[in-house]
Amino acid sequence: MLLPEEEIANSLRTFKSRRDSLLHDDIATFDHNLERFLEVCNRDPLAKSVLVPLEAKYVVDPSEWWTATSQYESKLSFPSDPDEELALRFGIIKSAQRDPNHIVSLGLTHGQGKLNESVELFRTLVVRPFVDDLSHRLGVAADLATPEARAVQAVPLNRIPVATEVKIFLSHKSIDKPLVHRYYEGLKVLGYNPWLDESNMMAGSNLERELLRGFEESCAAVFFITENFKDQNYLATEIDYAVIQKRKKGNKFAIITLRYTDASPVPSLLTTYVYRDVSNDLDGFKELLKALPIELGPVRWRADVV
Amino acid sequence: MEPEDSAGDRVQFAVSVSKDRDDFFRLTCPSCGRDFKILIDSSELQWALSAYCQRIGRDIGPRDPDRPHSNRIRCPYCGNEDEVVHMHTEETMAYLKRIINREVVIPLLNRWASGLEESTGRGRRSGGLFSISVEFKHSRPFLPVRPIHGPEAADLKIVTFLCCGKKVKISKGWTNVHVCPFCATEVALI
Repeated sequence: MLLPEEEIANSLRTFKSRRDSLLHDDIATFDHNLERFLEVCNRDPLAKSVLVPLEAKYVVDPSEWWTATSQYESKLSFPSDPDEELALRFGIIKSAQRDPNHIVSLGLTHGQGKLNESVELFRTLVVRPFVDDLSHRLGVAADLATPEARAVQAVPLNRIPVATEVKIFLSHKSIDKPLVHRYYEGLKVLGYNPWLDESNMMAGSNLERELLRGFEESCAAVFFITENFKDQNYLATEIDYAVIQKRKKGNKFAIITLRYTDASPVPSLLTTYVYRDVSNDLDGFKELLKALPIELGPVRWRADVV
Repeated sequence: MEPEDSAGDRVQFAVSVSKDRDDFFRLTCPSCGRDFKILIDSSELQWALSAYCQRIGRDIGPRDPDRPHSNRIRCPYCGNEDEVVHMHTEETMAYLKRIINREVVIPLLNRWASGLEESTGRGRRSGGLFSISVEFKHSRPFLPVRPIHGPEAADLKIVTFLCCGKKVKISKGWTNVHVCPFCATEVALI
């Protein structure tokens, strides 16, 4: 059964309200409340989804039950099968609405001479167990018809960086560009914002200024130490800039050094920060992601699949 | 839950409230009237029950002086701060009230009526200058039927607050959550 979520919530709300009136309102209003409760049972789509299949499955005879119950010192007897019991109770309640004398007769058989007491007895012995079971079944039916809850995150404002704080500066020797490009592409696919000198620097720009700006907008600097690495020229400047950023930004900036097998020694300035020996790109990528000070958001469906 | 009277006699009864499929319990903000849900602790219900019991001079459960009476929470919609016990839905409050009536108040009244009957010598006492006549109508007392709570629809969307790790459920279309209901940290839904 597919019902809109709002309709299910409305069904349950109406059912609970009519049920509670039937169970708890003054006995003088019982007839009226019974009629309104049965109206929900017979017309509400959610209630029908529970009751109609039971009525179709079991042929119950309320009049036979009333006859048996009205015998002297008889006990109330119901089928042992819970589904059949619910169907029979439903039939009994409907027949009691059609002919209230049944309720009087039930009361008399059980020593209740007054109408109010008979109704109270009927409410306690027949109606209450029925609505209890039906409430439970409606809850199950509502759950089955309701999609799993979606989850969103409320992130503290101090954990949400601005766009100009989350670049990842990839420092490398030109000869290692193919290696670093693989990292660059991987980070882009995941949704990070990697920064590479050749792709991010405008033609004719002042190299030093652009480098410095790149660092200032970054949350991490990654140094790739291969056999080609030499701590000199621009690489040396980048290490200096990274250390400055680290001092300035503290935990919100990471210096990550990935040292490949057989690579040059790690420059001494970098050894105090995150430093990992890696044997391949996958290892290096994993270590890089673990060391970043930022994380990506919750899982969601791609826009083009929904 | 155990309401206890001053004489030390105890009444034990079960209170069973309905949570939704995800274990969330519905509350209503008394200020803006909107519904939200939290993962509730059973002690919160105990304090809600105790409010009714105290009106009739009874306490619920053992007292723990170190534990605050209730937790405060902010409405995720309007930011109104109040105790959880003040945010129960009308349905829950009606249920708790019916439970207390059935399990505590009515038995108490019945005991009181029986005691009165005994103390007046089964209805008639006379002597001296005054004559007292008390008439009792004997009938087997019916307890009201036991109330039912729920079922609860698994509606609304879950919001996890990363500041304290707690969760609430709010209306699906609602995005204006600026403060954590539990720890008051400023947040944004992303």
